[in-house]
Amino acid sequence: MRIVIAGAGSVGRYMARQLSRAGHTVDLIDNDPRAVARAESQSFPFQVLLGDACEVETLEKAGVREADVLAAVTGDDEDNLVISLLAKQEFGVPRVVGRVNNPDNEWMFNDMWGVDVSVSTPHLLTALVEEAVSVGSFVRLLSLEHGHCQLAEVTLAPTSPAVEQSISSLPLPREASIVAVVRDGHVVAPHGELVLKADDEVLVLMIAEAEPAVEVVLVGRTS
Amino acid sequence: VSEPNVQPISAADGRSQIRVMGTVVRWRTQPVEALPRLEIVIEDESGRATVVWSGRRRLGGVHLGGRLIVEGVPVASKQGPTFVNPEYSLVASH
Repeated sequence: MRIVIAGAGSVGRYMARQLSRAGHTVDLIDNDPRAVARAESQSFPFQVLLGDACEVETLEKAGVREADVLAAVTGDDEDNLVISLLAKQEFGVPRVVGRVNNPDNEWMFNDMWGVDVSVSTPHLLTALVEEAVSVGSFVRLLSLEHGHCQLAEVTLAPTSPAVEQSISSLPLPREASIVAVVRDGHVVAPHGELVLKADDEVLVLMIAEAEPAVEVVLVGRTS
Repeated sequence: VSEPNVQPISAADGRSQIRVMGTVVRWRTQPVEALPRLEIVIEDESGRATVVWSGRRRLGGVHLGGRLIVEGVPVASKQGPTFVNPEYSLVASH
């Protein structure tokens, strides 16, 4: 795939390294000569361009017109939004990923600003901490399709109504699907006859509206 | 109506600037509490395209059955080509 990354800070450089190592064609943009120099000093086969990614000409030069993915990962949310919008509006990039620095800005990282997927480190950290401390409650891991769809995780408490039930017998709404069960560190395929146990980590893919119903089925209480 | 440089909507499958003309067959706006966004579908003999304007709930002259020329870079999506905030002009009905 052809990938353009805007922002050559530690996040952008790490992504460029990993993605070019995985065989993708990567172009990295930054307007700070020091960041560009640091990225160039790495012996990886990605292109580094000095320029302002908030300008159409720079994006054009970086090959955004042919890019399959653009990732706006600068440390500045305003810049990330402008870059995302330009990528979508002016270059029709099929997949635009935006980095949220300040969680207060996350509400803007959606299709209104051309963002297909937003990644917010503070939210992610909160989710991971919640995941570590909570058994028997719902943890949202990832939102997809502009937030219409989400991946959530529940570690089943012994009191969960889903314990000792087979997956096919759970009254899950149609818009929700169990996509994996992690048991004793192994991923178990979620076939209908699988009987859930306490401490199972159940991963559910669902549309946002289905969440309360799913919570009733897997956690048991209505919140 | 013959307009210069207008191409059939079915040609809007690439990542390059294109000018298409079509009739508005769907018109959808957002409720007051949601973020403003206007989404329409235009159609010609060759196909359909979605057009989205963010930050607007309505645009003067853009209504069901109206004809538009839209110019921009389409994004491929499941619903076919989508134009995001393209330039547009209204075509007089005849």
